[in-house]
Parts: sequence; C-alpha cells; structure tokens
Amino acid sequence: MKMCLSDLMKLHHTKKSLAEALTPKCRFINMDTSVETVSFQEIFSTTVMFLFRSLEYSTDPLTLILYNGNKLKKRIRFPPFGKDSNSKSIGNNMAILVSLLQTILERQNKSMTSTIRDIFYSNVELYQNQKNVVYWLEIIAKNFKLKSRDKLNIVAAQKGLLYSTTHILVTSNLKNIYSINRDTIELIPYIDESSIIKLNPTVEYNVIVFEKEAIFNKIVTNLVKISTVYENTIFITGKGYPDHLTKRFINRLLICNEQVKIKLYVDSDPEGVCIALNYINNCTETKNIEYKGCTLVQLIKKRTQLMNLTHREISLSINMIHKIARKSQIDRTNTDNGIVRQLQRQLFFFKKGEMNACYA
Amino acid sequence: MSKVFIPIANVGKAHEADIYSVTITNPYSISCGGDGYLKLWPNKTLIQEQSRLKDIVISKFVHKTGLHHADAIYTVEPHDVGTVLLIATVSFSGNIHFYQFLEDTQEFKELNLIDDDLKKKSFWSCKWVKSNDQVVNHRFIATDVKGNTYVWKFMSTDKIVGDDEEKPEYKKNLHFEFQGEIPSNEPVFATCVTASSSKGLLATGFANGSVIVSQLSTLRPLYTFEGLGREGVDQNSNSVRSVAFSPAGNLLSVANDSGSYGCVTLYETEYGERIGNLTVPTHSGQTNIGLFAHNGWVFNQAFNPSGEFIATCGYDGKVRVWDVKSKERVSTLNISATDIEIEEDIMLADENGDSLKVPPVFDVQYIPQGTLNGVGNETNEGLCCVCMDRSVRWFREAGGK
Repeated sequence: MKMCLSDLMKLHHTKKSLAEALTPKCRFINMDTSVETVSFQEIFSTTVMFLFRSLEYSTDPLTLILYNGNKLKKRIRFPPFGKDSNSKSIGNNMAILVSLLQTILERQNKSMTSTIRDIFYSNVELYQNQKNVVYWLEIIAKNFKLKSRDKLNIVAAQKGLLYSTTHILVTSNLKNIYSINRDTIELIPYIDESSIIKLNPTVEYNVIVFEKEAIFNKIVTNLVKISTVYENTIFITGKGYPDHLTKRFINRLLICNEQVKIKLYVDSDPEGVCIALNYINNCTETKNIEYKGCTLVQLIKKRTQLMNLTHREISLSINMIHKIARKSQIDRTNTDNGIVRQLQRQLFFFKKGEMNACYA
Repeated sequence: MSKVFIPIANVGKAHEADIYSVTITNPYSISCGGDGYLKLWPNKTLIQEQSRLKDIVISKFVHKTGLHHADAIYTVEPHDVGTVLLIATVSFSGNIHFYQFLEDTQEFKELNLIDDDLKKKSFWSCKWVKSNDQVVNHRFIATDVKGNTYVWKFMSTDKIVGDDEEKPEYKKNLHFEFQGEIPSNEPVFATCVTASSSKGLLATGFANGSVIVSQLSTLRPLYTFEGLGREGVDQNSNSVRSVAFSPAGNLLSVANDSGSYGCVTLYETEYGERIGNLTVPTHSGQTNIGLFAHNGWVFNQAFNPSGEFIATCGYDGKVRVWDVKSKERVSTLNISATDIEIEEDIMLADENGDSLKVPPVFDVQYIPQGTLNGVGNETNEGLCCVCMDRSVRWFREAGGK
C-alpha cells in the first residue's frame, strides 16, 4: 500500500527529499553496445526483445540511454514524468524508435531490404517527416556501432539509373544474386560493400557516367542499335550529385573488375567538376577513372551562349583548385591535372556551359 | 597602309599548362601559366638562342594552383636605389605574389608588400602604373572577384629626417602605402583593370559588361559605360575582358564579348564619349553587319608606345594590329600551332583531345623599340603573344621606318 501525500509530507521535511520520494523507480536500458558488433543481428534482437518486454510487462517507467555521437548521451523517459511530462515529443520519439526497431527486426529476420521512403509512408502520422526516419536510423546505427546505416536493411531510395549493353551479375553475401538485364533502363541495384559485380574478365568494359538524366535518356533511348554501336558499355547517371548507392556501385565495379574504364561526362561548370570529384573521391582505385568533360572549349567551338560564373561558383572553383593543389606531386593523377585545367579555364574565361548544348 | 610583322622567335610547350598572361619589360618577356610558374625570357638573346630558349629561361615556381595574371615594372628609382625589376602575379587561389628579380645574381626575392588583412581578399587582375614624373609615385592596382578595386602607392625608400631637417636621408625599403579602395555596388567579377598615369585615370572592367572609369588621385568614379555589345542578346554575353588606356591617356579601349564574338570599342577620356569600334567586315565587303574585331572573344589589347596602333588578340587565333586614327586593320597575324620551330614542341591538341591547330591567343603585348636585339630592332617595334598551345611567340615589324 502506497502512502498518501500528507503522510509523505510528514516523513520528508525538505522539498528536495519529498521530490526524491515522489520520483518513481526507473529501469535503465542502455542501448549503446560497447563491443564492436561481430554478430550484430544477435545483439540487436536480444536488445530489442528486452526493450519490448520491459515496455510490455514492467510497471516501472523506463529510461533509454542512447548514444548520439555527442559526449552527453540522449535519454528518453517513458512514460514521461517530472520536467519531461509536458513535452509532447518524448512519447512520440519512443513510438518512432520502437516502431523502427520493430521494422528493422522484421527485415533482418526475413533478409529483406526497404527504402527509407517506404518506411516513412508506412506510418506518415507517426514519423511526420522523412528526416525523422533518417535521424532515428542514424541513432540506431550509432548505438550498434555499425559502419554503415545500410546494415539495418533500410536504405535510401535509389536515385541513379543504369543501362547496360551487356548482362551483369551482382552477388551480395553469397545469398542474393541480382541480375541486370541488357538493354533496359534500371535503377542501380542495392549492393553493400561486400557485393561482387561480375563481368567477363577477358573483355574490356566502358562505363560512361552522365551528370544529367536528360543526356542519359537521350543516349540510351534515342540511339538506334545502341548495343551494337556501344558494345560492352554501361551507361550510368547519378542525376546530379550522386547518392551513396550510385557511388558504391561504381566503386565496386572498379574493384571487382580490372578491365573497367570509367568516363565521367559532366557539365562544364564548377558544379559539374564538383560532381566528378564526388565520384572520384569515393573510389578506392582511381587510375581507371577519366574526367572527360564536356569541356568549355567544345562549347565555345559550338558558339553556344555561355553564362557568367556566379560568385558562389567562383568560390567553389577556387576551393576545388586549392584542394587538388594541396596533393603532393606524386599523388596527383592525370585526372586531377585535367580537372585543374578545366577549373582554371572556366575561371579565366569566367564562363560556364551545360553539356546539353553539345547534343542540342 | 598595312604593316607586316615577321616572326623572330617562338617556343612551344613553354609551360606545362595553359599560359594566361605575358608582360614585357626591357630585359625580359615574362609569362605565367596554369602550372604555377613565372618564366623570364631574356629579350636580348631571343634570336640567337632561339633553339635553346627553354634552357636559358629563368623559371620561378610560385603557387600550386597556377597563375593567371602577371605584370611587371622595370624602373630606375632615385636615392641610390637604382634599377628595380618588380613582378606581381596573381594565383588562382586569389593571392598576389610579389618578387623582386635581382639581375646580378638572377635570383627572385619575395616581397611582402600588402597588409595581412587585405591578403584575405580573392584578387583577380593586377596592374602596375608606371609614373614618369619623379614626384608622383608608381602605383599598383588590383581587382578582386567581388568587383572591388584596390590601389597602393609604391615607394622605394624610407625618408629619415635627422638633425638637419633640410637634408633628409633616404634608406632603401621597397614598400606599399595603401591608397584606397573603389568598392563595388554589387558583387560582380572585376575582370580587368588599367590606369593612365598621365591622365590620372583608372578603369575597371566587369563581367556584366560595364566599365567604371575613376580618378586615380581621389578614387572617385567618373563615368560608367554599360551595356556594351549587341542589344537584345543574352544578358551575359557582353563581359568586358580587357581595358587599356593609350599612352597619353586620351583614349580608352574596351574589349568585350558580343555573344561568342569579340568587340573593341574606343572612348575618349575627356568626356567619356564613344568614338568608334574596331571592326572587320563581316559577310559583305561594304557593310558591317556586326561590329566585331575578332571572330571570338578578345582577351587582351595593347597600345604601341606612341599610341598610334593597338594590337588585339582573340579566341579566333589571330593577333590584329589596328590604326587608331582610321580605326582600320593594318595587320593580321594568323597563329597556327604548326609554326613552332622545334617540332616536338608543337601541340596540336590538348589532353582532352580538343584541337589547338589554330590556338586561341590569350595575351598580346607590344615590344617597344630597342628592347629586342638584331637587325631593325632600334627602329622597329615588336609583338609578343601567348597562345593556348602553350607557346610564346615574338614578332618584329618588317622593314625600316
């Protein structure tokens, strides 16, 4: 039998001790795993099951301690009490977290992959915003010391497109085999850092990467007999700045196949160069990547109307030149030199152009 | 009357990357390029050492990001300072680097002439303004990418007043005194700058097609020329690429884009009135459909020392010499990559495979009489240009005067 407030007040003479006596006992659950996850799935399912049971059966309030990258760990109390009790978001945060953990657990058990967008639309009312899903997934990944968020089997929606004139086989974790058919436009398949993209080792392959989807579409849909003209060629577009998946796909292509040559076709503006650098910097092996343009010189020759560089683009160019120039002479590749040359010319002419003009 | 220029020396692959600027001083032609090097080509031995110019060139590595503007001043300073050769060059990182070249030891001495707070600016073009008046200081002008123009006064000595006030002592100390700034109303790329010491004027050209002429002594703007080039065309097609005052300062020549073509317009500086364009006939021999000077952007222009002629260079791979009075073309030099004397230094295409057979000319400068050596040097002027095939070429006017 619990005491009533007047009895409690008789027992505790100070405000502080009364407040302490009124504070309920709390069960602490530390979500931050201290060991590097060897068997992530096992630890994950145990922790999650434990959390669910506590929520279901325990009468005591819970305090979840989460690591969010800062020194001060994030604490969520459920049900909220004390100062937190007025805050609406606490209960909501708990619901988001539990819902996400449940989804991840399901996906893990079934070895299925979902996109962040799918998760968000599965309960818009709860998540409210797609950014919330990303934020909490990041926190979960950090707590389980995962190198990549993708291990949770929830990935960003694919952005990049791919068209191959040859058949490609993608093997991931020896379980899933994904096949990319020839002569069809497909989304870049979900792959992880251990996926293997298999190509015929005796044949040389060209991978042509376009910055713009419009150019990609024009090439792959308008060209008649594309597969005979461009044999063993893979066309890729990241639609502007590439997402992780597109970059990873290109990196895996290079790592798994020595005979692959990548050619980057981007706009002749500082943003284009920045996109090219985005691809290059993500690749572990850069000797087979070539920056091809389209160059400003080609556009000038076509007598297209070129735009002036904006102030932001000038700063971007200067920063990029600086960054590459900082590399030692030995580390600088021909691609680096080519990029510096393009940036210098863009600045010297103070003009920029888009590659669409080349195909207009 | 037409003029004929004959090639007297050339060097291919003079720099590892594009050469963006050349400047002429009495002892050296100075080029700078995207490889970050300053190169000093000795004028007096150009003709004799034609085959081994790359061996005798004096190189100085300045900055990893590459250099795009260079200007030099060769002057005899009073109070026993003597002859000084000062070189200023701007790197793509936006810094200005100053060097004094010591001719005796052939060494470069780096100078720290700008205050630290101004060093943070992203500079673009630079210009020395040589004063022929002992009382007036030489000046140094620079523009930044935000459109501001900065002016410094150059001093070669410190004045020390001792016990005897009438006889001050002078101690050698090359330094700058910041005169001021002409701020820009809006952030527009200030692409080029020039000044006339004799008229006391300063002109800044902008990427949006305007030119602002200011007074050099007060830095107060006098005139703004706007909307150069064709009307009704894309708003960004009339960027100003070069401005130049005639030696007497009574003419200002402005080179600006007109779409993909290049125009040169002459203004008189007294009232700021336009007095005409330098044009080549297009399509028809009789009428000028467009007022173009070059079939491509005009990158730079230079008056000859007497102010009678002006040389312009453009993306069309041509250097043109114009009679200022009649505004007519008196000479056209067609540059071809295959002109280069040493065959292995011929560059027909760049690393991207873009053709350089007719290389765009990025800079042209007049060479005053008596600068070069050889026959006719004392009486004839010359031209020096740098092209996109990474070559430096020297020409001399043919015949006697």
